[in-house]
This record gives sequence, structure tokens and C-alpha cells, in this order.
Amino acid sequence: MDLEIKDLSFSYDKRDVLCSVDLTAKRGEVIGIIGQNGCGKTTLLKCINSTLKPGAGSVTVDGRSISEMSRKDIAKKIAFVTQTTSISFPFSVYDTVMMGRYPRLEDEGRKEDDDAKAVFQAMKDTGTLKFADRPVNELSGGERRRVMIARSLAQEPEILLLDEPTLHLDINHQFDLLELINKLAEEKNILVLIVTHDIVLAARYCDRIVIMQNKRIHKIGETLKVMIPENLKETFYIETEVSEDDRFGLNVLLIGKCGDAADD
Amino acid sequence: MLGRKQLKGKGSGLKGGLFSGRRIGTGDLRTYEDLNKYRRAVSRRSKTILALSILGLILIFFAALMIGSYRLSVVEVVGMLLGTSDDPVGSYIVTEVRVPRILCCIAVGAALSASGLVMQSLFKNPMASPSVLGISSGAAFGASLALAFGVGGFLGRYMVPGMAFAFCFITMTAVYMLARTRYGVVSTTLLLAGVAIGAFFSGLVSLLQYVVNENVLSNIVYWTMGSFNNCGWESFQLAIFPVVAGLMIMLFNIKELNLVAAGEEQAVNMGVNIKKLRILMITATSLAVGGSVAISGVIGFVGLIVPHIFRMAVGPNHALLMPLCIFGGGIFMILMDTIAKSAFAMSLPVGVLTALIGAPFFIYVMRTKKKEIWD
Repeated sequence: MDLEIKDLSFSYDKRDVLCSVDLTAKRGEVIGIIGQNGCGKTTLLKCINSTLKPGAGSVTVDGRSISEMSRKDIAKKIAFVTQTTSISFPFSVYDTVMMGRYPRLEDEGRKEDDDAKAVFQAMKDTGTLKFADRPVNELSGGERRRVMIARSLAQEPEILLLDEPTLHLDINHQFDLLELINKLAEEKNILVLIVTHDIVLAARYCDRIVIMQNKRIHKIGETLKVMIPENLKETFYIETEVSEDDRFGLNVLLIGKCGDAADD
Repeated sequence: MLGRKQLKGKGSGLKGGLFSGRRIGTGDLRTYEDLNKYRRAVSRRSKTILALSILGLILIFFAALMIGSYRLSVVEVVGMLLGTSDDPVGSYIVTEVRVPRILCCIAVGAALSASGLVMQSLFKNPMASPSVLGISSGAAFGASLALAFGVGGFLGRYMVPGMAFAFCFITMTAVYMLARTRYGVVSTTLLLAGVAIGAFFSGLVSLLQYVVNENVLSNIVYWTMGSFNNCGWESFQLAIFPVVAGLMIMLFNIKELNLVAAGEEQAVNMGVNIKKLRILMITATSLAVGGSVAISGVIGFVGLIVPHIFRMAVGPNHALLMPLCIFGGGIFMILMDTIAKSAFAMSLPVGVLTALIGAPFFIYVMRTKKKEIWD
């Protein structure tokens, strides 16, 4: 298996956030991670790329433990697009995407125009080429999100972590973005882990679904098997109808709230 | 040339101006060749701007040699520099007073500007600079300790800059630790920590002034005002090593500075070793600011003004902005010093002038960049 998480636990100070999480995944997969606020979704992503050090357990990529890799080596394998897309200074879009090349600058056998080619490809794939020369903080939220994804693709990662990628996007851009992510996962054989609140999009675009609840992985499996009304009701207290649309695929209809959210 | 191209381009090129980082007139990019064209245009523009700034520095260097209470013409100055002049007084003034003084201006201007830039990027706060965050006050206290009581005597001739460096390092680390929270460096806390630490060290310097005898006192007062009046070849030799070392460290970390300036969390995700970078940058700014404060005292606001002006002009990419701050900082400092010493009825300490210009500039930045400061 390409990514293997074993018995991972993490706590902030003394508050447990993740308890014995196990997950294995391989390249080319798109995995959606859903769950209520504070269930540890983002923390899980941060543990995977080692910006947070887990209290127990291990994360290995191709059998190599993340905790023994340098930050640069991790960045060559794993790209992480965080929730915030804000950039503090008005860097041009081109400069911003070029930053993604940082971990590869000292690679052996690297050629002069490798960086430019990778940046070009990343910008082309994400449709950000046309504003290469614009300051990134003048772009709209959706455009900026695509720039961030372009930057992560410039890293040429094998694993792509996305934290709420559709946040603040127009509904049509949300679909565009997930189409893009699916295409990239397939074409470039990247493993994509998406943390999201959007059950509808997760159902439509992910190969597998992880439902997190109470600091643990509650349910995991093929989307078709996990995205069922019983599971959604149990975790989100939402009444749903799940159907298959001939044109688009799995369709989750959120109907309404049922029961109360017990504190968990 | 660049300007004309831009006028023909898109509308936004107009408001961008000659050196603006936005819209180099290539139109919409589509192919790899387009992107390469854009890249080459950016690099050409950077080279032009850098060449202009070096040229500007050389010109202002010679212009400043002519100005002072003893006025000289270009021909005279050139003669004196070549040693062919028959005016011994003028020759002495040029080679022993003005040349070293102007070189000190360049070193100090470059050091303070580059340090200000590094601090703004590291803290992601447009208000950060050595004087605003109390770093210069810390350095002044270190220097005063050395002067008043000979603390750090084991450093020999590097006693004053050495002590200035040590206290820079301590102050900056303290400010950084105080301002850091789990969520990164919070702007408000950063500025408040800087004010508190700065006030503390200013208080200590005042205390020193109160207890030492009069000979030493005038020396310390000189340090707190900021001036190049006592800067000769010896000062230059003292400052040049730490300043150049500091600037070299900064120049070697341009890529990392870009990433961190864009966002610290994301920089870590892209492979930047943030702990190492922080230590390197605090060391580099301490070397540069320590070296400057040791010879010229506290000259405020330079590290705030210069990076701002150039960032507004050429954009935030350190590959261009850093060398530009180094050369431009030199130009700015020569300009300020020349104005301070010769534009008024009496020669003013340059620190007074930069404070008089800097404080309104500080307020201007505060009013226009509210969002960045308080976010």
C-alpha cells in the first residue's frame, strides 16, 4: 500500500483529537473524509504530512516512515492545500506557483527548464495560465484556490491533501474543481485525500469515503456502501435520500434534520 | 521602453507604472513559449531595475562627495580621489572624512533596509522594522554597556558591535517569543511586544546615561540620536564584516523568505525548515543591525520606509526586492545624511531627520495597510 496510517493518535495539550486511526490507500484513489466539526479531520491531514507530530502510531509512504523524512523529502511526496488561500504579499501568480518547486530545487539530475515546465503544466491543468502575471491577492476566491492547487501540483506530489477545497466557491466552481481533481488523480496517478463538509460532492466524486466521528474513523469503504442514509443519519442527524443519477452518478439528497446532535 | 510597452497593453498596466510588478505587456498567456516570454520579460525588467539602482548608488556617492561645508566640483573630487590634486585640505576631507562616511552610510542603510525587509517577511507585518520592534534600542543598550563599563571587553575592537549584536539577538528573540502564539505571530501582540521591549531598553539606556560620567555620557547620547558624524575608516572597518555577513545570509535565503512571506504554514508544507530559517534570519538581522548600531547609533524608520517604497514599486519577490533594498537603502541613507548635515542652518544628527520623516510615514502605512496589520 502506498499510504499507510497505523494506530495514529494525537492530542492538543491533554485534549485528545485523534484516537487510533488506521487507514491505507493507494495512488489514483480519491478519498473523501467527512464528519462533524471538531472530529479531527484537519488534524488527520496535518499528521499525515507531519506538520503535527502524532502522540502514537505511524504514517508511512511506500514503507518509509514520515517522521524520519526531512521537510523537503515530505514535500516531494505530499502536497497540502490548506483551508486559507490568503497570501500576505502581492506575489504574482507565476511566482506563487513557482514556490511549489522549492522542495525540488536541489534534486539531482534536475535540468534548468524542469521547473518552468512543471509550473507551466500545473497552471495549464488548473486553468490559471491566463492570470500568470496578476498579483495573487487580486484574484477571486475561486481563482486563488486554483492557484493554490496549481502550486501544489508544481510540487509533483504523489499524495495530495485538500482541506475544504470547495469552501467559499460558487456552486459551479465547486463542481469544476472536483472534476479537475478527479481528472488529475487519474491522469497523474495521485492519491487525493479531501476533507470536506460537502456530502453531496463527496458522494459524487470520491472513490472511497471515510466518516469520522468521535475522534475515530467510524465508517470507511466504497462510496456506494458508506454513503447510505443510515450512516448519514447516525453521524450528522440528517435525513437523506440516496439515488443513482444516470448522467451524473451517486446523488445524495439532504432532506432535513432528525433527532438531536448528542455531544460527542 | 518598458513604460511604452505597458501603455499599449491592458488598462491595468497604466496604473501599474514603470516599475510595477503587474502586467508586463505580454497579453494573455496560452503556451509554454508565452510563459517563457513572460519569464524573460520579468527577468529583463529585474536586471534593468538593479542596474539602474547600482548606477544611482554610484552617482549619489560621487554627488555626496562634493557636498558639505567645504564645497567641491566634480573635477576637484576626481582629482582628489586619484591623488593628483594639489589641495591638501580638500584631499584630506574627501579621502579621510567623506569617503568613509559615505561608505558607512551605504553599509548602515543597506543593513537596516534589508533587516526591515526580512522582519516584515518573517513576521508578515508591514509595520515591522528594527526600530519599531525595539531591536535597535536593545542594540543601543548593548553598545552603551560596552562604552560605559567596558562590558564585553574580551571582544577587543569588536566590543561595541559585538555587544550590539548580542543584545539585538536577545531582543529580537524575546520579541518573537512574546509575539508567537499557537496560531503564529499575531500582529497586535508583535507590535505591543516590540513597544514594551523597546521602552524597557530605552529606559535602561537612560539609566546608564544617568549614572555614568560626562565624557561617556556624550558618547551614549550620540548613540541614542543616530549620526554619522564620528564615522571614519575605523568605523567602516568595524561595521563592514558583520553587515556583509548578515546580508550574505539573507541573500542566500531569498527563496525561503519568499515562501515564508507568502504564508508560514504553507511554507512548511512546501518543505521549508522554518526553525532553521528563523534562527538564521534572527542571526542575520542581529549581525546587520548590530554592526550598524555600533557605528551610527539608532537611526529609526529606515528599515520601515525603504522596503515599503520598493515593495510598492517592484512587488514582493525577494529575488529583486532584497538586492534593491540593499542598494536603495544605501542611496536613501546617503541622501538623508547629506540633507541632515548640509540642508539646515546647523548639522543635524541623521536619526533626527529619519524620525521626522519616518513617523508620518509610519502613520501613513498604518492608515493604508490596516487590513494587513490587523489580520
